Amino acid sequence: MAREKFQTLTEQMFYILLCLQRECCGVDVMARVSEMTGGRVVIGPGTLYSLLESFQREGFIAETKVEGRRRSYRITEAGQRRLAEEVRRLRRQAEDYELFGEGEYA
Amino acid sequence: MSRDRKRALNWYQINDSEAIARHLERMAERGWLLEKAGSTLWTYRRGEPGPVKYTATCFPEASVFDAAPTPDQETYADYCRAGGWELAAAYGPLQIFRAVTPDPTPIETDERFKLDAVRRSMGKSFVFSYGLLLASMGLNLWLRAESFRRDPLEFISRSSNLSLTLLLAGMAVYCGAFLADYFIWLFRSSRAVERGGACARVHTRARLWMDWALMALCALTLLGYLEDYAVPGARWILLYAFGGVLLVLAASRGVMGLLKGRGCRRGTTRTAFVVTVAALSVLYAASLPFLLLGTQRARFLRMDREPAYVHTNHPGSAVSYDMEVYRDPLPITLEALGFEVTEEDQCSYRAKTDRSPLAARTVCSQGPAEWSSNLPDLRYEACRIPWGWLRQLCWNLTVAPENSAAHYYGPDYAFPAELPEGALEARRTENGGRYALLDREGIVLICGSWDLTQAQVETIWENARTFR
Repeated sequence: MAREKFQTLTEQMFYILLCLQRECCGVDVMARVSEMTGGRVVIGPGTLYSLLESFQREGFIAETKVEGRRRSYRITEAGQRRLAEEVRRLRRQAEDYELFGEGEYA
Repeated sequence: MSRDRKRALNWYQINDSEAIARHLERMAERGWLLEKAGSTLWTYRRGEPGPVKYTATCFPEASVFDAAPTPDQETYADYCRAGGWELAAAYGPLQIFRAVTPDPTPIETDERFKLDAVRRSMGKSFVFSYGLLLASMGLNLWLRAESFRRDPLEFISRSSNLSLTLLLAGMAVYCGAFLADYFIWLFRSSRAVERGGACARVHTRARLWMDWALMALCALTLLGYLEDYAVPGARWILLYAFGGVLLVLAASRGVMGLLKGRGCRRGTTRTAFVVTVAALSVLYAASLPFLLLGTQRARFLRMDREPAYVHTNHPGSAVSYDMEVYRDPLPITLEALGFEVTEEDQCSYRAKTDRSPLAARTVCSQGPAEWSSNLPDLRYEACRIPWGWLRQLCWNLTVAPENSAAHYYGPDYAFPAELPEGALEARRTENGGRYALLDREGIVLICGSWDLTQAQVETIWENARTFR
């Protein structure tokens, strides 16, 4: 499921990776993503846990610190590449919209 | 349980998160807050009645054999706490949370992960155990079918046989329906989630009805057995037979609880649990025949009614053995067939009737209890079967060539006999010791330890038919 799942990043996946550009404790990711998006993107704790597990398994993020039950993570190079790829995909989508959505095809 | 605590049966499966939450919210409205979740019983404690928000999720990595929450499970609970939820109770992969803030974040915000967690949790626990149970029910039903094929008259005339078969069939249907329902749910959910929708709804009400139906079947089976074994002693044995299963389960759970209490590792607890279940099941299965034989020999408990008296052969010697002597009235006796019966023969006359909704059968037997007697043995059974198709099926099975081993002795029914009056069909064995006769009401089987004459057969046939 994991490989297939990351072919296109969902908003939640995207913002978790974006949030982990800086080292962050797993439990704080929810709040930080909410802050980054002004509350538009909400990540449930169960989904967050599963996503962090999957990202770690895929090598997109790495555990950087463990303090008791608090585990911190940071994005890896593979994660950076995947995030950049997603940004390019989104840009292309936006460009296509500008070209076809607002142009002669509209 | 004190008034501040109560236990209630859990009717929900772990993929039925919405129904679990609704049920717990209703309980909270009535002032009962979930304290502990188990496989069958949930414990509630008294609290202030009012609205409490619950949610149930799956954490597949957790196991019922864990002594304490694993570090991963604690991390998961920490995330949920940050989202406004506190862990109310957990049992294996099922995690139940209670809201601690007015507007908590939903635990699952991606249906794909939710579905994946449910699929892994169900696969690990329910699908495996229900699959195993279904296979076991299939095997049991095959054994019941064999038993019917070998002696159809005995099978259909005993309520216990019928109700047990019904229970096994009911359990097979239950397991099959459960698995089918789950896989259909999984298929529909996967399709919906792929299209960006939510997991499909679970058929909670239908499942609850199935649970009730299964419990009713269990009660019916017990009643069927109680009807067949109306002797008080037999009821103790039956109680042991039924209660033994519960005892095995309770003892295995006790071992699991003990090891978990001592903080044993998951693997150790699981192995000990499986070994305990297997060992106790074997012990239980083996104990039943011993108990039956032992209690009957000691005349402590009887599965059968009391005889008129017991005749001891070779009294005081090493080869001494007892024979039970009954004095039941029989429709036809060896005396009526021309044999001379004396007191020295210690002849036993026994009639036993079984009735079920499908058939009524009376088995009569007469024979000497004294070893030195030259008197032959006579046995005949008359079975009344109201339904024509069932009567014909039983007849075909009874006289089937491969079926002779199930009956008393002698070779197969190979040669048609002369038809006595009123008989539609008849068979006799080559040596003439065994007869099977069919009429419009049922079947009569006659077995003598000598070559029966046509006149004797007709006399037994006439009397056995009227006795049925």
